[in-house]
Amino acid sequence: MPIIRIILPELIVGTVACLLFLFGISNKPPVRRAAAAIALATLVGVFAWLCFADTTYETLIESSAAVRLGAFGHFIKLLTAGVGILLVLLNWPSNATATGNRALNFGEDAGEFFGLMLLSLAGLMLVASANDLMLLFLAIELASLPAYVMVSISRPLPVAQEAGVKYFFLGAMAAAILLFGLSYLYGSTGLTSLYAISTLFHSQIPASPADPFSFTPVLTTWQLLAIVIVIIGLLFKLAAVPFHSYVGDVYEGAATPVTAFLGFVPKASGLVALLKILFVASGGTWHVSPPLIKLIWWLAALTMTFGNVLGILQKHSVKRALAYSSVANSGYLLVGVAALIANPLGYDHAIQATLFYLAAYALMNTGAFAVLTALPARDEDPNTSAETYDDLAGAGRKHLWLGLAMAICCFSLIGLPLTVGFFGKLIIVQPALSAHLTGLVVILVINAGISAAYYLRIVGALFLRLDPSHGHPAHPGYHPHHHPAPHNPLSAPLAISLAVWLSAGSVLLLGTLLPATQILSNHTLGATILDNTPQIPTSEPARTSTAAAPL
Amino acid sequence: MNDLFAVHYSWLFPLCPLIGAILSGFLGAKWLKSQSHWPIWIGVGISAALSLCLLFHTIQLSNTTPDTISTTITWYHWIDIGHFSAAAGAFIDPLTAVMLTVVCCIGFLITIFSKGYMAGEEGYFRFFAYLGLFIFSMTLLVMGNNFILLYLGWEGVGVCSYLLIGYYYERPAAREAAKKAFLVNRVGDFGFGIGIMLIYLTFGTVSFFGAGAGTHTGVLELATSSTLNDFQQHALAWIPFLLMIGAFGKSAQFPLYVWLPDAMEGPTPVSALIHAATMVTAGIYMIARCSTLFVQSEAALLTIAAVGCFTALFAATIALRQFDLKKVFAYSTISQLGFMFAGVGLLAPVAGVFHLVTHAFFKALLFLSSGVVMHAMAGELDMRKMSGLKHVLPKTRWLMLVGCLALAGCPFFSGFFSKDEIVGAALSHPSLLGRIIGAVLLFSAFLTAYYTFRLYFRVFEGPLVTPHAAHHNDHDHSHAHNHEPLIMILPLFILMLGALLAGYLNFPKNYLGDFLGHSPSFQLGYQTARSATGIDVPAHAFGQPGEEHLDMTTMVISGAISILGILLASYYHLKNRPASDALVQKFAPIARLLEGKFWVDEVYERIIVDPLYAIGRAFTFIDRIVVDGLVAIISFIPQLFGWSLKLTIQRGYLQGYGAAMLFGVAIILLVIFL
Repeated sequence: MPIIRIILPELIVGTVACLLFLFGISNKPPVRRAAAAIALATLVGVFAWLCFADTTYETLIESSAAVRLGAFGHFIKLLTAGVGILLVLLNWPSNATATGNRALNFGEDAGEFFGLMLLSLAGLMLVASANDLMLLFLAIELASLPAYVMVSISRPLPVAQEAGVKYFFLGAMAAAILLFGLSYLYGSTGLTSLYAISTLFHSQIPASPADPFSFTPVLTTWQLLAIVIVIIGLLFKLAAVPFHSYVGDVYEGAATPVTAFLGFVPKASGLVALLKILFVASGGTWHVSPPLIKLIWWLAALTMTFGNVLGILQKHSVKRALAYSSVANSGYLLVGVAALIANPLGYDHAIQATLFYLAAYALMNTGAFAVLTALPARDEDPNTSAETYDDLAGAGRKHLWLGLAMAICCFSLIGLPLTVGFFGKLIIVQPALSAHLTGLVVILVINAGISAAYYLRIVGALFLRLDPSHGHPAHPGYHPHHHPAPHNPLSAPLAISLAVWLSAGSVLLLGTLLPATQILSNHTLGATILDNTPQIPTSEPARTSTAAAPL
Repeated sequence: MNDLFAVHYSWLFPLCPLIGAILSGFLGAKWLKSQSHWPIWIGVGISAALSLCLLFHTIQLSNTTPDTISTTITWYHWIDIGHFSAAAGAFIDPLTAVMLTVVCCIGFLITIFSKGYMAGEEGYFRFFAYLGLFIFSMTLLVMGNNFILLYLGWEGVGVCSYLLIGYYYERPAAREAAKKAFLVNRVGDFGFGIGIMLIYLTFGTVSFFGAGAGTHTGVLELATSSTLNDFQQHALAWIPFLLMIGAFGKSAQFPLYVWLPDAMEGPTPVSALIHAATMVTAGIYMIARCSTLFVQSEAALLTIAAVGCFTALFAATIALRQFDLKKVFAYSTISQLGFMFAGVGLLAPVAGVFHLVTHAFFKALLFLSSGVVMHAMAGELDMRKMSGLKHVLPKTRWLMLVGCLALAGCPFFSGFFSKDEIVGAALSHPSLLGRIIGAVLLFSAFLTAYYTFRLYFRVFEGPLVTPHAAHHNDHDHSHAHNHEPLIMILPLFILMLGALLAGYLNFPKNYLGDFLGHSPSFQLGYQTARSATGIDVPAHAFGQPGEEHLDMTTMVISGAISILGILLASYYHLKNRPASDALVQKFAPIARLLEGKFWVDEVYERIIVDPLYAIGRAFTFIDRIVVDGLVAIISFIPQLFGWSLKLTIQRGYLQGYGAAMLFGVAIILLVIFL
């Protein structure tokens, strides 16, 4: 049963998700903890299995089936399971009644909460295997819909409800746009199989003796319109301009661990779908129409810039600043996509860079939100987690290890050397330069400079600002003899500390230990063949072996 | 020779001192405390034993074969970036064996001495940790098989020198001296670094002998190739000069010598080990090792010889009017290093290395003896405040006497033979400049004999005068026993044997020369020198087999000159001390010039330091006003942009977001389809 084997990871995760919904019937704390444990065990199992599974799927299945899987999809699933482990740890119900943790409060709905989470992760995995328009759309929505609910039930606060509602309505609108585009794609080709559409487009490549290196299919206006609208529909998942406006409110309103979730799962599903659609639109050659290149170019430039300038303005809420940081990171990912379609002959380096950056971003973003989850807002009130710069003031000295983990993640988000973010930016700049996107690279570098302002503000607040509850003798609640007990560096619950250390540690490890970086980049390089084998015409000259493989 | 234990396990040489340094550095403060010398004793002791082992085996080998003796060992692949690769590994030949013996054995003796000398000092463990680190770097320097490793050791010893000069960091003078040493060395190392880069650019490798001597894969052999292209030939004209700058910095030659006298702020064992016996000779080692690069350029050789000769004279004159014991020896070290440079510059590297070895023994002895004096006199080193110390320090007096005789070049002491060889090489040099250099060196040798014995007669002979503080202590105890503990005297005794006997290493036959001649550096250097310069280079100057002749005339002249200097000193400073004061009165301006050290420091201050400060102030101003202003403006732009977004789109209304999204869709579609 080859098809079962292809979608086995998402089947397992989805089945376990359905089982977890049953756990919601009980309202006993041990059952809730069991729900989290089962979710974790499932993901660890899937992750371990994917680590050792062989990736030769292509031979198993005919190309027109609804699902196909290659090294690319395999890598995405591996990444999903890996980051999923971190996210489950981060959402661990660690308080006495197992109704959430310092940052999170889903009440008695642990079964539903983790069920939704697994469902969303299964959706992301399914995006990676989808080979059919219908399935692709359903998979994207499977990844998104649970997220809407998770935002709403993540804490019993009006701000979370508001965030959930906004997210849902805008998401529905984007889904409508996406579906609209997909219907045009079907209407203009008469096909739903991605493979079949790509073959159709491939047959539209004009034989041009004048320019033997041009493999760009000539799309009809309707076809191009369909592709453009589909891409626009996907921008919402990517949180790219102009569909970025929800990010601030939604990320801020959701509980911090759920925000970390939002920062990865929908974004990854959007990116994977975008790559698939571009692959189809190029007829499998990565040569797309010039307007599309221009579109991605502008989207990348605007997304980076909007994200960072909005981030720099957030002087109150750290979560909001990190929300816009995730917008900016979508821009960096789009730079990789732009490099991919602007220089199709170097497609492997561009996809490698994009996937590497996606993995790096997942780690450092999760790490930053994990520290926010672990830090208490105020010592007097240990039941809330840090959300604002004031909450962070002086916390780095009090919780030295958490502060250092945050510093590592922020330095990585800036792209400083010795962190994985440095290599992420480095290898995304290389293909962009060889695609002659110098302007985009300049914008990226300027943006990295702008972003340093607010990332360093976080680190500065942690280590340089004074804790407002100390050092003010006139403070009404100030007791000169009250000294809070010295904090154990592991004062945060074990699961959350584990998430902090796993993410910050791998950010550091992948940035300092070159062999480890090499392993990741080899993984991403291996994943550059999309599930449909590239149909590069046989007349294409052998690709010049120019730059050595990055790293 | 790869089957020799010391060669097979050559990585032990640097590793043992390093482990010792790590142990005493990290465990010393809390646990080892006053026992912190043990890791270093053991670590350096192992290296010293290994080095003797290596030396004797290599000598045995050299007696049985006329071929070159060398081997290249790769410890591990260190750097592999693109086409650039450098291995961490050793190149072992007779030159390495000699240098390792000097470094490890004298280093070992000095660590023994230091236990007595440094006892009870604040940061005792720190001293020994630095010492271990220094031996580690120095062994890497002399045994590395490529320029990068040489450079690593070169910088490593620089750092250790900095740390040890600044050992008493509470004292401002020590801090300043450490900084000065570091900064002046930066100038030299800059040239050295560029030289190494140019070498890589020219030959595509940084290895001395590549896969081994004779395989023509290393820099030193490629440089002798007859098929060099234009660029390589031009580069070869530059490389010696760049390397030379590094050597001048590290080995304290004019004009980069100014750091060495100040470096005497460090503890005396440091002055003995680093600033007399080993580190400062790194320049000589480097030139001897790379002789194939140097002998091809006559200009470079003559520059080296001229600078060395000038420094020898210049520093010797300054030493005439110094009153601090260690300062006298510091200038004397600069002067003697000048002799060595003159030797290697005049195509007599054997003489240069020979002098390096003898100098290492007697100068270490002299420094350590003055350390004993300093110890006994409660830190006082001003020779105007002491006299007749032979009554207080009887053993030290004899040790010092031997050291002084060796330094002065008195016949039959070690310094005599080695100095004589350099002078002889200069006088027999065919060029006129060579003979002028020889004459100047003879005069410097005369000055050396004079200032050495001025010091000796002033301090140890005559009526007993001790500085007040020390005198006070003397009343309490049987002083002689206190001032000369065995742990300090024993190493000195061994060094004294070296100072007495090291001269016979190369006399009456060229034992050392023949041994060194088995080094591929010397053999290739000799062949290249003959073919490149056209000068009839005497074979024995490079330790090559050939007729040997003892230049008795030079020997007699230099011996006579040295004795003359000693006699003159005995007249002015032993028999008739007032006469010397009268002499100083008579030549007051010259005396002031010498006491002011020719005001070189002041000149540097005016023409280098002050302008740099002025530039720095100008840049600070530009930075504050122009750059910071620009930054303020630039940082304002994104904020302005952000505010405009925040006030229009990001206001938190769902319908606003929806409208913005649809607006965006419309714009994208318009842009693409219109």
